[in-house]
This record gives sequence, C-alpha cells and structure tokens, in this order.
Amino acid sequence: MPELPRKKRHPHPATVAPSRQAPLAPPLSEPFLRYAELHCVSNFTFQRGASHPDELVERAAALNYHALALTDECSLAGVVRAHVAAQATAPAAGQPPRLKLLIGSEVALIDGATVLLYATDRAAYGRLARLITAGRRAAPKGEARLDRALLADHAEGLLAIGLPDEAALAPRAGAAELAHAALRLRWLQELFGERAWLAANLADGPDDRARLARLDHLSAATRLPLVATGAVETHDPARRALRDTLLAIRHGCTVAELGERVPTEGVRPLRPLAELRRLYGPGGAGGSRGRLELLERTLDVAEHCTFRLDELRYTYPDEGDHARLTELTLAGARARWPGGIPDKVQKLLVHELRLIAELRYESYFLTVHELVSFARGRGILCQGRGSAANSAVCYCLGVTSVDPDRFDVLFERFLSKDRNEPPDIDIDFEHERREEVLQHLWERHGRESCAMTGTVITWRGRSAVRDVGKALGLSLDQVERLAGVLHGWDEADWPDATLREAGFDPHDATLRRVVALARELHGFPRHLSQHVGGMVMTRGRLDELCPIENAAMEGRTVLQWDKDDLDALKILKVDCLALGMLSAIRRCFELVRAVHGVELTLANVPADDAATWAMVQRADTIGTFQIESRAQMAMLPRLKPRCFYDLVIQVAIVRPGPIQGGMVHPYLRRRAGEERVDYPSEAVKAVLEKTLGVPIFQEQAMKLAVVAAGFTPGEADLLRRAMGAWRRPGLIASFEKKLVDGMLARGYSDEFARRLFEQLKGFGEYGFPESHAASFALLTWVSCWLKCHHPAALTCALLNSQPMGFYAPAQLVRDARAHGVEVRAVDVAASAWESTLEVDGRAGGVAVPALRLGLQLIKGVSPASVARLLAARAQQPFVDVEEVTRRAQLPRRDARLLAEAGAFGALAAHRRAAWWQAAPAGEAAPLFEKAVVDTVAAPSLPPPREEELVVADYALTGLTLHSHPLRFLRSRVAQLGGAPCSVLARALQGARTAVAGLVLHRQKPGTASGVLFMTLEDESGVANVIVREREQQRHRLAVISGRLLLVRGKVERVGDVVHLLAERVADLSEQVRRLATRSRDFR
Amino acid sequence: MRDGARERIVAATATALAAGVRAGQAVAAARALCAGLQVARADPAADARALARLAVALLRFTPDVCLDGGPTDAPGTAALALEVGRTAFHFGGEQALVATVIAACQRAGHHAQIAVADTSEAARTLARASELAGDPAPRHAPNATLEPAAARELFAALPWQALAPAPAVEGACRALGVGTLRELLALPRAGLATRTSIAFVQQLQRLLGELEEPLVRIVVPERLEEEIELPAAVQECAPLLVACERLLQSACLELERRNEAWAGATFSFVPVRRGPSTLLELAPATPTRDPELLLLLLSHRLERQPLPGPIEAVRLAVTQRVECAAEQGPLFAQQRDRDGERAATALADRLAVRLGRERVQGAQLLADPRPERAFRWQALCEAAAPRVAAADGRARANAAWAVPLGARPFTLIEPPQPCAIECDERGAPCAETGARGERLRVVRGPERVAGGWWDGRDVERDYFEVEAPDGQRRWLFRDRVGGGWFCHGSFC
Repeated sequence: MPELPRKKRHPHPATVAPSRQAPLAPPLSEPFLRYAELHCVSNFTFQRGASHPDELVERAAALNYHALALTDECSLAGVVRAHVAAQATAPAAGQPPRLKLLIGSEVALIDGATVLLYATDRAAYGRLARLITAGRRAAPKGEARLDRALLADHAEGLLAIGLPDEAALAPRAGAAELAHAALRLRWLQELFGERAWLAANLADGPDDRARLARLDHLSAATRLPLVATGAVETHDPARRALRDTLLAIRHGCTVAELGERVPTEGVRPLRPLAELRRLYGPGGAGGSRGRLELLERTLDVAEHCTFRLDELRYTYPDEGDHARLTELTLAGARARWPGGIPDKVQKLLVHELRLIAELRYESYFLTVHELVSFARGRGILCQGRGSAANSAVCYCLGVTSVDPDRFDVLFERFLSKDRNEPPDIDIDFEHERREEVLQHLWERHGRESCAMTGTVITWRGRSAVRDVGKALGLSLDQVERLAGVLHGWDEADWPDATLREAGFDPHDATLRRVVALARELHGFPRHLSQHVGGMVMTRGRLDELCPIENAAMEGRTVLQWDKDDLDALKILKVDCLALGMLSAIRRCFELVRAVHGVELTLANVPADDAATWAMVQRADTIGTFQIESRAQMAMLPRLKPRCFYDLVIQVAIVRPGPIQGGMVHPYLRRRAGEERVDYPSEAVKAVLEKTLGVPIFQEQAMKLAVVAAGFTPGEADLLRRAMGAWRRPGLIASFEKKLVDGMLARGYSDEFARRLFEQLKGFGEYGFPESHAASFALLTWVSCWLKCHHPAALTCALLNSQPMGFYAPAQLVRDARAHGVEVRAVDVAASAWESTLEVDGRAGGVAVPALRLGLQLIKGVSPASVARLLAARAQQPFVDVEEVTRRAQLPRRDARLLAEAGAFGALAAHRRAAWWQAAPAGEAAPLFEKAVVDTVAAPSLPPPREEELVVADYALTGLTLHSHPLRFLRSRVAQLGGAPCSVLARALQGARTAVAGLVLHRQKPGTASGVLFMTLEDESGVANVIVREREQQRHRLAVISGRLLLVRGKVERVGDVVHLLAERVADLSEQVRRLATRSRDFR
Repeated sequence: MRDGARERIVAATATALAAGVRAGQAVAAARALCAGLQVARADPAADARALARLAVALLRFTPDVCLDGGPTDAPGTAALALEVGRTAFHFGGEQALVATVIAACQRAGHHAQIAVADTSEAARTLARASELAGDPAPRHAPNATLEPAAARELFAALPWQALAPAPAVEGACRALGVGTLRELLALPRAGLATRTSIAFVQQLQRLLGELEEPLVRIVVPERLEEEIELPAAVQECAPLLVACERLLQSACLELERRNEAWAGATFSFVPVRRGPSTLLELAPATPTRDPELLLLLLSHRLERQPLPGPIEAVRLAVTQRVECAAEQGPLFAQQRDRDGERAATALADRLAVRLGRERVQGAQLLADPRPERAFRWQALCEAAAPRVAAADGRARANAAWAVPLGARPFTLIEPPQPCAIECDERGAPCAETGARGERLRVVRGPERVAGGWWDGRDVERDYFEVEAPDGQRRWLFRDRVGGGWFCHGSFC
C-alpha cells in the first residue's frame, strides 16, 4: 500500500480561507501616506525569501499598504497563494479586497542587470508568463537564462523597474562606476519608455543620503524616474535568522561565512508606514524637504496594473461537441452490449449525458476518451478511476471496465449539479509505458499548451535538520547523527534524552538554534518538482496561463503551479498515473492468449467465480492487487468477501484513515452479526447503509457533514480540503464546532456527533474515496481470478513487471510452486530475457504451462549479451560452455555470472565446472605469456553442495528452486530453541515460543506508534512478528540489520490471525554467511 | 572514506567493532548499528606516514626494513617486512626478537600482527590468517628447507582470504568453491592465471618461495644539516656571517632541488673546545628559500644575541620544511625588489626579529556586520598565513566588505559606553541629558546594523554620527533589542 503523502504544516491558503478573519487594521498613524510595495520576494524565491506569500499579503494588508507586488525570482509559483490570501482581505464577502495584489517577477539578465517586471493586463500577464517560460526552458532545471532580446520580445504591456548596480552606489565607487551603471540601465528606458523606473531602495544603510544622491545622479543619467522599493524578503523582522540560514543554504556556506552577502542592516521586512515616512520624509535621507514623492510614485506604478488572477480563464483542449460525445458513447455501448443495451443502462446514459450537457463537460470527457483510445491503440492497458470515472458513459467510452450493469454501485457519486466541482478522472496506465502516453500528449497539444502539474517540495524534518545543521556549521557527522535521532517525518521534535543519547548537549546554544530554525523552516518550499501524473492541457496557450519549466527528467515540462493552485483557479488536470499491476495484467492476458488462445480483457474476466472467492477468503492472495499486503491478508479471513462490493470495502478499509478512526472493528462485528446496526436517522441510514452504519469512504464522510450537520456541498468540499490541515489548531476547532453544533441542532446525540467527528478526523489523514476503491477493486478481482485460474501466467507476468508489489520474486515463485506450478531454472538453452511459459504437457485436454525463469533475474547480466546469446541459440543449439561464450561473444563478466547462477545447466557437469570453462571468456590470447595459455585439461572440481547452491542462488537471482536456506540450519536453530514458523498456526494465545527465519519485510507504519512489523520466512512458512519500541531499542542491531533472525516471544492470536510479540531477538545472519563454507569444513 | 557518493567505513575501534561496525560498511549503516558512532574521515596519506615512521623506528632491529604494500594496495593491507635472519641472534633469537618488536610497536601506539616465515609473502599471509582468526599471537612457520612437508601443510591449511586477493580473484575463489590454499594450489597454475590474474599466481609462487620477491629497503629521510669549521676561532659578527651565508646558500640550493622551503631552522654556534653551543632559531613569517632574506634576518638576530666566547664551528640544521607550490622564477634578478608583497613580508620579518613576533600585529578585516567584530588583531606573521592557506571562508569574503572608509571610527570604545540621550520625534538623538547636557546634531544616520545571532551575540542597533557643540563627533547607537543608548567611538 503506497503511503499517501502527509500534508504540509503550512496549508495552501485556498484550503483555509473561509475560517480566517482578516486581521484588524491598526489605527492609521499616517493618514496621508499611501504606499505600494513593489519589490517583494516570498519563499518561492527558494533559499532567499523567508515568508509564505500569504503571510506577506496579510502583513501588507495589516500595515495598510495600498498594494503589494509579488516579484519572485523568475517565477510565478507563489502568486496563486498570494491571490487567494489577497481575496481574503476583503472586509466582507462581495467587497473588493483591501490590498491590491500586483503580479510581477524579479528577472536577472545574463549581462548582470536585474529588472522587476509587472503585468498590467491579461495580455501582458501572458507575455510575462511566456518570458519566464522562455528563460526557464533555456536553462537546466531550477535555473533561468534571459537576455535583453528575449525581454524586448515580451515587453509589451509590462512595466519595468531597474535595480541599480550596487557597485555604483557603494561609497567607494567613483564616477566611472556610476557612468558604467548608467550605461547598463539606459536600454531599459529605451525599451520601456515611460513604463520604466529606477528602484530607490533605501534601508537604513551606512549612508542613505549619499546613496540617494548617487541614485539621483543615476536617474538623471538614465532618464528613469526614481521610485521607492523595499527589496522585501520577509513579512516579519523576526525571520532574520531564518533568512540568513536560507542564504547560507543557497551559497553552500555557513551563516558566519555569509559576510557581505547579507546587508549590514540585517533583513528587509515589510516596513510600517511610519518608518517609511521617517526614511523618505523631511529630515530623512532626502534632507530637510524629504522625498515623499518617491513613495507616492509607487501608487502610479500600481495604478497601471489592472490585472487580477481571477481574470484567467481555462479552456478545455477539445471542443464541447455534444453530438460527438453522444455518438461515441452509443457506439461504445453497442460494442459493450452486442445483444442490446440493457434498459437500466439506457436510462442511465440518457441521465448522465443530459447532466454532462448541462454542466458543459463534454470536452472533458472527449479529452479523456482521446487519451484512452490512444493508449488502447498502442496496446497499453489503462483504467480510469475517480468520481466521474465510474459512470455508464465512461464504461461505454472505454475509460473504465467497471460494468454499471454488473456492479450496482456508485451512481449517486456521479456529477451533481449542486456541487460545483469539476469532474475527476484519474487514469492508471501500465507503469512501464506511461511515458508513451505523456509524450503523446505533448505531441498532440504542443509544449506551449500542455504540461505536468508542479509539486512544491517542502522542507521536512530530516531535510530541514540537515540543511540548517550544515548552515550553522555542524560537522557532517553531527548533522547525520541529529537527523538520525529525529523521530517521524513531520515533527522536528527532539526530547532532551534523545539528544543526549545521540551525543549532544541539549543545552548547547548552537544545537538549540539548529532545532529552533529547523522547526521554523519546516514546511517552507524547497524546490519545485513534478506531480505524480497530473497533466494540464488547454486549447490556447498554457504558457500564458502559468510559466512552464523543465523537469529534472529529460523530455518533461512542468507548470510552476501545484494542484492546489490549479484547484483554486479551477484549472483542470487529468492524472495519468503509473500502475505496475496493469503491466502485469496486460502481460498475463498476452500469456493466456498465447497458451490457451483465449482473449481476455478487463471487462470480460468472469464477474463471479466460486473458486476465486474461496481463494480470496482464505487469504491466499500473494501476488494479487491491493489485498496482498500483510494487513490486508490478516483482514481477508475476517471480512470474507463474497461479492464485488465486499472487495471495494476490503480495498478501502485497510487504510490508516479507517484504522485511526476506529471503523474497522465495528464494521467487522456488524458484518459478523455480533453487533446491531442502527441508524440515528433515515438521512444517515441512506448514507451509511451499504457499509453497515460505519463510514468507510471519503464520500460518506462528506455526505454525512451535509445531511447530519447541515454543511452545504461547497462547505463539505472545503472540509475535505481542510482535513489535511487538521494539525493547524485554529482550524480544527472551527470545524469541530460547526460539525458538532450542526448535528446537535438536527437532533443527533452529542455522543454520536463526537464519535463521528473523531472518525472524520481519521479520514483527514488518509481517506480513500469509494470511486477509487471501486476501480481498484476491479483490478483486484481480475488479478485474483488470474491467480486462481492461470497461476503460472500471472507469476510469469509479475516476474516480468518487477519491481512492483509487496513481494519479491522469491516469494512469488515459492507461492506459485505451492500452487502446483512447475518452475524451471534459468538455462541458456531454454530461457529468454524475460520469464516465459513452456507448454509441454496437457491435463485433460488443457495445456499446463510450466514457468521458465528469465535470464534477466540474474543480477547484473547485460541485456546486450543476452540478446547475442539468444540470437546465437536461434541459429543452432549450444553443445558446450566454451561454445556459448564464443558464439555469443560473452564478456567475461557475463559468462561468469551465468555460470555462477547455474544458467549453463546441462552443458556442464555442475556450476563450478561451468565456471572453469566460462571464466576465460573474452580473454584475448596473451601475447607474451605463452606459458599460461590454457592447454591444461580442466581440473576435477568437487560438485557444489546444495546449501552452496542456495547461497549462490540468493546472491545472484534473489530466489532459489532448491531447498529453503533454513532447512540447512534447522538443527542449529533447534539447538537454540527455535521451532518452524508453521507451529505458530497451531499455537495457543499467550504461549511462549521462538521461531527463526529470513526477514522478508520490515514495516513501521505511521499509524502504529513506533511498532515494527516483520515477516520471517522459513521452509515451513511465514511468521508475523511485532517488535515494540522497547525491544527495538534493546535489540537494535539485530532488528535493523539482521537477515536471519531468531525471535522469542509471546503468541497473540485473534481468530486465525497469529502474531508473535517479540521479547528477544537474536541475529543469526552469520550462520547464512557461513552456510557455503561450513559444510566443507565438516567434510 | 568516500567511495562514489557513499561513505564507507575503512577501520573501526574495538568498541565500534563490538557494536557490529565493520570495515566496508556504509557509514549510514554503521550509524544505524551504533547510535553514538564518531566518524572521522580516513587519511590514507597519514596512515602511510605513520607506517613509514614505524618503519624507521624498526630499523634498530635490522637494516633491511621493507615497506610491503600488499598484493592489491587496498586500504589496510600494507605491511612491513623485516629481514631478521641475520640479526635475530643479537636479540636473543627469533622468539625474543618478535616479543621486542611487538613491545616497540606498542610503545609507538600500534598493534602489531606478526608472523615469521622464510619469505615476506609467507610471513604476511600467515599474519593475515592469524588476524582473520582473531588470534593476536605471533606465529612462526617451520623452515621450508629443513621441514618442507610441515611448512607446506601449514600454508595449505590457511584460508584463501589470508592472501587478501583483489575482488576479481575473490570472486573466482568463491565461484570455484575454494576453501583453503590447498584447493587453490591443486588447481593447474596456467589455468588459474587465465581465470584470475598472473599477478595472483605469482603471489602464490612467491608464497612458496618459487619466485623471488621484489622488496625495496626503506630509505631514511635525511636531515638537512651541515657544519662548517671556521679556519680560526672568531667572535665578530662579520666572519661568522660569511660562514653562515655559505651554509644558507648550500641549504637553500638543496631546498630548491627538493622543491621545499625553509620554515624553521637552528643555527648552532659551537665555542672553542666544543663547549655548550649557542642556539639560534630562525623561522621567517612565510616559508622561503631566499638566502639573502634569511641572511638578513640572521644578521639582525646575531646583533642582539651575545655570543659567550670565540666560535669554532657553525652548524645549520633545517628542522622544518614545507613543500612549495611551483613558482615561476623571474627573468631578471632585480625584478624581485619590485614585488611589494615580498617587501612587506620582509619588513614584517625585520620588525618581528627586533620586537618579537607577537608584538608586530596587523588588523585582519572580517565580514561581520558588528563593528566590534569586523576585524581582529593578530600577529602579522600569522595574518599572512591565510593568504597562503586561503582556507578560511571568512577571509575570502573579506575582500570587498562594503563599509565605507570613514563611516566607522578608527578605534572603538569597547565595551560601548552607556549614555543618556534625548531623542526627537523621529527617534534621532538631539541632546545628551547627562552631566554635560550638550545639544547634538545628527551628521549621519540612522545606520542599522543587525547580525550575529549565530554566535549568541546578536545585535540590532541604529547608529548615528553626531556632532557636539565643540565640534567633536561621536558614534552613538540605540540598542533596538535591550533599549538604551551607547557611545561606541569618536571620529577624529
């Protein structure tokens, strides 16, 4: 189960806006002074800005600024957050915001000049975005490259403020520097004319009067009027230490080494108007008359800018052609039901199509259809999921294979008129072939109209500690130790005892600074990355909506906005995700067709099958989708799925959300009939009936907020978004109150209300929607059916799709053999690169395939060598080892690997003989050393013993077809008091026993408060072990690094599910290492 | 030690070994095993130097001490080979000699794993076998000439790992299922060479004494030392300096040949009848091999150093030498004088010679926003050092620190003196309210200065340059954190 990303501590302002009150304005101390801050960078100017965009906006509004320009370095990544925060400064709904937000950017040209640019209107905004795109696309990820010519191409409608050359303003500078600086700025006036200014950025420097005099000189020489700017990097002067730390991280030095890269006056915050008046007013830097006009002029600049982000309009890439959608849907329906479309489906289609027409979502469905048809044309298996995906229309369009006729679920989740939410369809593609789909999108729509959604990577516990520690001069060793004792990912929280244990003095001043700053840095954007699969496409130019940059991965381009930004501006994305199981299922379908001639699809796998259900109910599910994890397997015998909807629940229930919300046990008890199902009202019953009164899906949680607490659908949606921000103290209280009050007012008991709230809180972390669970459940069912009826094909497909899933090849192969599949070893005479099926027997007229392991399982062997080998074999079979190496021109390394893995099979007496024959491969005859030419007959090497083969197999292929390694250690383990793992199945609750086995998995789920789960395996089966924190500490070495463990403990039994609660853990790994040699010593 | 992007453990202390730390482990893995693990960067050069020092120390047991790099030059496989056949009886036989050597190593701070055998290869293999088995006791192989069977049996039973072979050979040994040298030796040599390496087979042959060993005796690094006997005993400076000049020139020539420079040396002036010598240390500010400069320094020193009586001989021993970066020599000798830096160093040296090194100080500018920390005094000779080392990041950032000349007083009042100041409505000082009660005029300011949180002495100040009625200018600041006014200096 992939861990869902934890939410950042600083939530997107769009998720918290309604609960926030705009701070009260302080009394107007300067009634005549008006100011717009025109130069301000947020923390989206990475490693420099020390405030979130919304913090800056809120502070600027509180200071009574007229306007604030966000001018991040060649980036618009923070503007949506700033925009949302600016909207929230409106005194009341419907009124204009108190603070005007200008959209701009600080752009450094390659000739050294730095210019601030502002968008005056929508068209100019588009040009600014394109300029940034051009600069970013011309440079490696994270950098930009712009020159004057590029700027000139996009200058129309933009305003510019030139930043003066600091070298010319330095007190030491002479006339030559001033003239040079003037020369470097003059083009700005020529290009922008009256739309250009020169920044007068006074900030209580060493000599502001002299500085202003020089600025005046520069202004006269360049004909650029001066305007006051603040070069703001934070909203609060208290962020000075953080800003210094960020700069140190940027420059790769320590804060003490920053030197003049930091101005002597410290950090430049948003300044109160009174301070600005002191600086620019009479008696300040401008002399007795003052220079207040420099402040006034900021308003002129702001007046020019009329553009607001909410002017942006998103257009779907495909035209909303209703007739075409209807036509495609009907054609699809006829193909799905050749014998006539069922009545129920017909009604549904009419209903859905009418709804789509009303909401004008035709183009969205057509876009998704195009994607899916492309994939299908290429033979790439895909499947849609999400609220709109499980509709009859989508089934007909081939977006999903969840048959609305066969599975009677979910229709109330389809688009609804009252919820103004864009349709949501994620499409899973085969993981190895998704890139083809993405590249197709870029090809079809063009680079300027299509890009991946960005993701803001933020500093979290460990990364924050590492970077802060280095910036404060801790040694690498100390930094690693400190990061090492950090518990959990999210909280930079160290108890003193932990620090002491790691060898630190918790009262050390530097250490305290590191801890405090790491906490402050937590949640700050660190860099932009790409979303897992969200693609944004538009009909017009996307790069006029948002700048596009290069991704780290070749051939990918990414928006500067993340999914919350897109949501806030109602821009649509289609998630194109990679799913390993789809690759495996496609391969399995192909294998089944090759062996049995049966054409399987996701849609035509039988919908019901007693043998498959029986297999699922006994948790015989290794290698299936979703229900193969240890937690899922523990649940299966208790839940005993009998129908498709049970699988949907099974997929959704073993998630941290329902587990933390305490939903699992009530559901199981009610399902077993041990607990009465009652509903406090009909409305609640309608929502929860199909899950026996226990909310299991995210949709149910939202719907409950509506029917039980009186939320509007819009508010419920906000609740869903805000759930990620539960940790924010103010927010949790406001929603809790609203929910509980709403329920009490509707006559629900306080106890019910509180319980529901706690359950919803669990969802906040990891809710799973029913619409996704249903699509997943279909893949689960298909994979289970394949496992039940075509185990060899499924295992073969899984092996060829590695790495994926929960189990390594060793367990998959062991499980297949346990189900009667004949597995044959890697062999140069029979294996291909991938694993294959070999049919040479029939049982009752049905082909019984055997699984031949592929040469790719041998770690490190080169595909090119194997290709030559297969080509040579196709011409003529091999007769001996030397011939293989010669005809396939195997390099020495590959020849030896094949020999050590036993791949020469029958061509040599045994592996050692094969190695002796293969080892000189690729060796040119020595020129001078005639004496060592290999004329001697092969020595008679002793054949390897089985345990030696097992050790070699594990080392080279990760799996063995020989005995389990534990078999050879059984007597040793027995001496130590260890029993086979299989005894646990019969062990009684509370019994004390010990088992030994190879460690298959170690898992430390965030939901289990530090408890570690381990799975041990021996020749008799597996044992599930729980190691509590105390035992982990006590047996740290063994628990962390042991490969073979002997665990002594107490049996914990719940029904058929048995765990061993570890009391003592011993590391026997040394025994495995000795296996190969020990046997010889005893000979 | 760094290996690609991952740091690996090269060696570990006994405590770390007990915690499960092993050579070859990734540092992260080692840390996971041992929470309080202290990791230091490996320094193979220092290891080599330590081994070389030990080799010199062991010369007292035999003139034939050889540095044996081991078969692969992998870290930790280097050894020392001592030919003791001819010298053992001086120390009471092999057994006694080995015990003495072990004791000597221990005194030098090393743990020695010793084996005695006919060949160096055999001894090293035997020693490594003991180390692998965790047996610190020294081992003696039987004499291969006298007891060939016993010797062969001893080696045949050793594990092949004792050969410390290269990774490729190791792979071959594992693939062929070899356990001991016996099995390895049973394989056809020629075939083995094709499958492993010729070098490995030669190693085996050396082990068995079938092939000669190329071992090179260590060479003791010579000291740069020379003595001149004067034609007649003298007490005056001039003739002494002539002798010294000869010594200096010869030493500097030798230094140039080695591409080294003079960092420190001792002149010994030996009085008649070899009484106790007068010693004179000569260490210039920057290492040099310029005989003229050195002679100049020496003459200054000699002027102040009374010699007890007539001198019969002068001895020069260069005790500290440093390696020089390659230097382009000038085309014409007189260009040297134009080199300002050289002249400044020479001046500093001359002053230091006369006044004492620590008395000649220079201000080193630091890039720190706090005025009181924007420079530091240090001995001029040391101040020059960072220029050579160029390691300190702060020193690098210094070059262009932008505080204008004259914006800060030349000397500061440390600690700043509290004063009582009356402010105007803009927060600027307008009068001193103390005993003097003068009106003040702001010449410049406020200048904000903030920084220093990283060392716990954070400041946030607004500085003003003010003029008192008598024309005196002072530098005041208001402490924005703690409040209050202070005087931090005055302008001349």
